[in-house]
Amino acid sequence: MSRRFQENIVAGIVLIVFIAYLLATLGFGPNARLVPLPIAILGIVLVLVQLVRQNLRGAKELQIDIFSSLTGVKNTTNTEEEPSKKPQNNFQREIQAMFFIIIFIGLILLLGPVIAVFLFSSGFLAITRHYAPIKAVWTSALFSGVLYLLFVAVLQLQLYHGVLASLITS
Amino acid sequence: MLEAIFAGLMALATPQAMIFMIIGVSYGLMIGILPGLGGIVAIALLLPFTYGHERAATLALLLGAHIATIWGGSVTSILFKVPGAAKSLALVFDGHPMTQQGHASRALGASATAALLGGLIGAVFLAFSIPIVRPVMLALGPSEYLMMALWGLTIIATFSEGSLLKGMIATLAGIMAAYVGMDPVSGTPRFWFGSVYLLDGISFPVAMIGLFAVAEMIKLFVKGNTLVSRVSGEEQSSVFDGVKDAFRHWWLVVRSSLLGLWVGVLPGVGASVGGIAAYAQAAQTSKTPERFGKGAVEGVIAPDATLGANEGGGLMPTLAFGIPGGESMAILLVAFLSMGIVPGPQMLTSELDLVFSMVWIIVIANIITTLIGLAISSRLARLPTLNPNIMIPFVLSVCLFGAFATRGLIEDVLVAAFFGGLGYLMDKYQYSRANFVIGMVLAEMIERNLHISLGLYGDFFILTRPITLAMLVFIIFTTALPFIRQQRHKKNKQANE
Repeated sequence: MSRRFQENIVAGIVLIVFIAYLLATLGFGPNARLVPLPIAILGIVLVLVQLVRQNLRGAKELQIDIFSSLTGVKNTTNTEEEPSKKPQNNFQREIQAMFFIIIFIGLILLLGPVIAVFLFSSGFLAITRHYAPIKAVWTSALFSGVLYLLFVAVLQLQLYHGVLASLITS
Repeated sequence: MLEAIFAGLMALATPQAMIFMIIGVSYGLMIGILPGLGGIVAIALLLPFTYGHERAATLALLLGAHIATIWGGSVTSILFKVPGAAKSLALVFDGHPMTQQGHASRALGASATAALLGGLIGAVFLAFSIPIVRPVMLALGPSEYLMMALWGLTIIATFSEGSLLKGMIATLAGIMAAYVGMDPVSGTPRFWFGSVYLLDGISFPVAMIGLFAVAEMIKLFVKGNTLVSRVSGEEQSSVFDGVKDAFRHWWLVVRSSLLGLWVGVLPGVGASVGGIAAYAQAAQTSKTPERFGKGAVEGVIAPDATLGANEGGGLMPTLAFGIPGGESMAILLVAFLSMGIVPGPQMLTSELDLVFSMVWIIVIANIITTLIGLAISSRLARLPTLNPNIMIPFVLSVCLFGAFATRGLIEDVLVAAFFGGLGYLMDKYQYSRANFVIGMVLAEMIERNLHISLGLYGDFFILTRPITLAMLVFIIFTTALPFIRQQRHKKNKQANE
């Protein structure tokens, strides 16, 4: 998938969000939509301009670097169609990253933050083979203990115990 | 007045006040370094401990903690590209590139010293300028504050990462996100999708934790390398290089501090605008603006001096008129009231000793923070070189715990994760995350002041308020300036060819 195609998908999604936002604001009273309505309209216009620019202009013209505008010095760091070094590998890593986050969030919702931190950290350290399993477990236990002390004992945070705990107690 | 200055200092010369000051500063540094937990959270968590102690000691605890959080927030911006609070955002632009180039210690040293100098200038200002600034402050109305917010939005274009158009889209998206929840003017629930949680709106710290911290951890995992690709110990400069930098750019420090003071004095504007404006003016006035965004030490000095001075400026309207200078001042105001300190003109007469105690607290807390900061900077600088396999689970855990801790709501963890994914995509496709956050921060100020202006001055308030009109002209000029320069540069280039 080319970079331009990816950019078009992203801009298309942003456009849909702005249009949905515009439609939602139409349901509000005049005061409630006074600022959101023009913001949505301006957003739609800007995304359409962005879509046109990124499809009609050359890749190098897609970026307006404001530092270049201010200084006249070319910024060579950003190019719109710069190919990724390992796109396939990156995509796999992105999916893995999302998977890890979903697992972590799931654990937090199920068991509460302290136990989730312990399980996620020890699991991550063990899976990435950074530490041997036993060392991963005690390192994570120590870290979870520090977080518990800091947030619960010192900052007196009312802890969330997870869906599982509420199911067991009820 | 000299008697009041001396009495203010003596009130802090008790063992309780000194111990409270050290506890406050240490606690503030710790909270500041935790992503998303800035000065507001620090003071809010201290409120239950403020009863039954000496007033000066309690103020030392509260203000000491608040001042230390400012530098704590700068540390995470510089080292991890994770702003500790919205006001530390500008530190990301040059602070983190310095870390990547092996100048983390220098950046931290410059940051701590600039914050100290800014803090001292702010304290001196607070002490001497209340009678002078009062008429200026009272001359500005909501329409002028609206223009201030619009100026904040337009100047962010001066540091858009990559495409200006995408930066503007990101800003508008940030404004949109800020309008989720109950409309404070009409009481209309907006974009809440039937969720009671969304009625309260999206919390700024939670969104920032997601957009920056969680997104950076995703990036780190995808990249499979350290945050900073160099081995530990390979620092190219020392903390004292940064200290020297701050003194070498003394005029920038003075200018940025004065800007911070002014922003602090304006009620409701907040330090977020100040940090951004300081960065923009440093870039615009630099002889070598092309270095900005790539690790220019001036890009660290300017925002930190502004943030340091902002506190002195912010205290002035809070104490003299009971109008908080920003979000953290609002919560300080609550603390003052709970301690029996009633802001108003009497603060400048019968309670002058207490005002000067606060001035001294700002001075002493800034000095202690800087000393601790300089002492620990070289150790802190090694943190980004940690192996990602250790960084990811531990930083992610602190971030999601921090998201939960901001309001004690488990939904905030989900929102932080959502913004993490969004932040990763925004970074990948070069939609500026910074612009998104600034849009969020300024959205409420724009809407509130627009409604008040329309109600007070009518539909054509811009034309009937000369200061507002002048500010609008200024905004148009500063927005057009980069494009004019670009056109001139093109013409010159064509002429040379």
